[in-house]
Amino acid sequence: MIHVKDVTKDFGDGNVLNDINLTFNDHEITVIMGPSGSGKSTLLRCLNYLEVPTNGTITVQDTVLKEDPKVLESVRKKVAMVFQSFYLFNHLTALKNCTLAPRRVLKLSDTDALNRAEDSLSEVGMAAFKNRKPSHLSGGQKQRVAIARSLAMHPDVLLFDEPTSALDPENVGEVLQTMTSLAKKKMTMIIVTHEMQFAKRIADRVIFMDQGSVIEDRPAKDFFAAPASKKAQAFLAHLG
Amino acid sequence: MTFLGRLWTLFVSGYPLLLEGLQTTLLLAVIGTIAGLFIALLLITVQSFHVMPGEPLVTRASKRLSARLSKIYVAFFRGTPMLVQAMVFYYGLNQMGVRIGFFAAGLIVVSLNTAAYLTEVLKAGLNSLDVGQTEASLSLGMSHFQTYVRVLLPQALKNMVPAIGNELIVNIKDTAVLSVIGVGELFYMGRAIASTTYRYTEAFILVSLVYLVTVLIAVEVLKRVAALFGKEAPRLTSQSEGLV
Repeated sequence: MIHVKDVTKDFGDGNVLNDINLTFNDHEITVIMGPSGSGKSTLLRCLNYLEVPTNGTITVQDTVLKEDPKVLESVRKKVAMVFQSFYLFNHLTALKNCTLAPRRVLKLSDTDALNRAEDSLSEVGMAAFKNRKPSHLSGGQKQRVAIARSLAMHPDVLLFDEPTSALDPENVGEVLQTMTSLAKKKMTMIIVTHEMQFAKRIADRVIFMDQGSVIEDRPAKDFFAAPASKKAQAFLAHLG
Repeated sequence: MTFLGRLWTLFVSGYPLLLEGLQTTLLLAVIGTIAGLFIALLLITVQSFHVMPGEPLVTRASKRLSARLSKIYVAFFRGTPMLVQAMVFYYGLNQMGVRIGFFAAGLIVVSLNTAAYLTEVLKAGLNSLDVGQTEASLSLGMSHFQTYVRVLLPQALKNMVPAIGNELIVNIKDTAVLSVIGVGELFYMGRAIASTTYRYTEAFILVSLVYLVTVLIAVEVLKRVAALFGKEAPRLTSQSEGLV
């Protein structure tokens, strides 16, 4: 469970987040939507403190986040993040991308880390590519390895920051398919995305943001059937 | 006797000295570059410490202090000629009663000097990495130090192989200044030959040729080493010189 209380974020040239109050429940799949610049990525990055809120508190499973390495390391190993541009470790093979943190953070033995990494890579359908370096993978394959790298930590929560936005159109499908299969296992997922059909299919809940504020926060079915705000209606119409 | 003939005669009579000098030059350059690289790793590491508001005051203060000292070190060694450093080091130590050989003094000066340059090279290498590498690592629960050691440094080092090779080539040539503190490297031997034979022009042309051949061979070797890392080796062009 993640609580966001009175969170604001100010980058110096105006508020990016205005007084956000939210609770993310376990085993819930939340999609955060909104026009670009609405603060959705910033909000997501506040949840693991890659972005430190200007005001307010984030609580992850009863731990209040603060800029203390011990606190952040203990929380981040349970809250994994998948990035728009993958950010695989370029000097390591797919397999070693997935064993690094389990070995160094979770202190697993080499064998245990290896087993986990191979399981995770199989889960995203990338086992056959385990010895490839990122430079020899397509965008979609990189993102699937990045998801496997997160899964290998056996996290409680998975954060996705526009995971398909940097992909060529033909690679989007494989990543969404991977995420759909994770959703079926009822992992706790918080996803920032513009993929509306995908959101409709998997989301339990939709948070719609605009100009740093949460405009709507409703069950996905209700949201897609009839968005309440004019902004959301226009946004959905635009995405078609 | 023709000019070329005199050059040849000088080479035949002087080659044991030249060979000895070359050996010293290569030892200084190779060991100095390697030692410099290790010192540079230390210097850049303390500069890369991440200071977090949530840490104890003592931790934060010592991180800031060591980073500051490292930067002062780099500024001093990059901002003064190696020739002058050698003088200060050699005479300074002797005045303090520390007896140290010419070669050891030379090697230390080369290493300390190289360390300062390679620190800047490594800093550039680290800065060129995408900030996403750090974010991805931190988001997995890795500490800043683990991120630095396991994710950032290996990539920076790999990218910097050509620049490190370039530093070796610079050192083969620049160790010539150590002749002023009596280190018996190639240029020192050249001067010895010149002053005993009074054939100054020929002696120094001979020494230039030995430097040139050595550097050309080193460039070839480095090309192969760089290829192992999938990188382009340093070339003897203005561009690669511009790196230092």
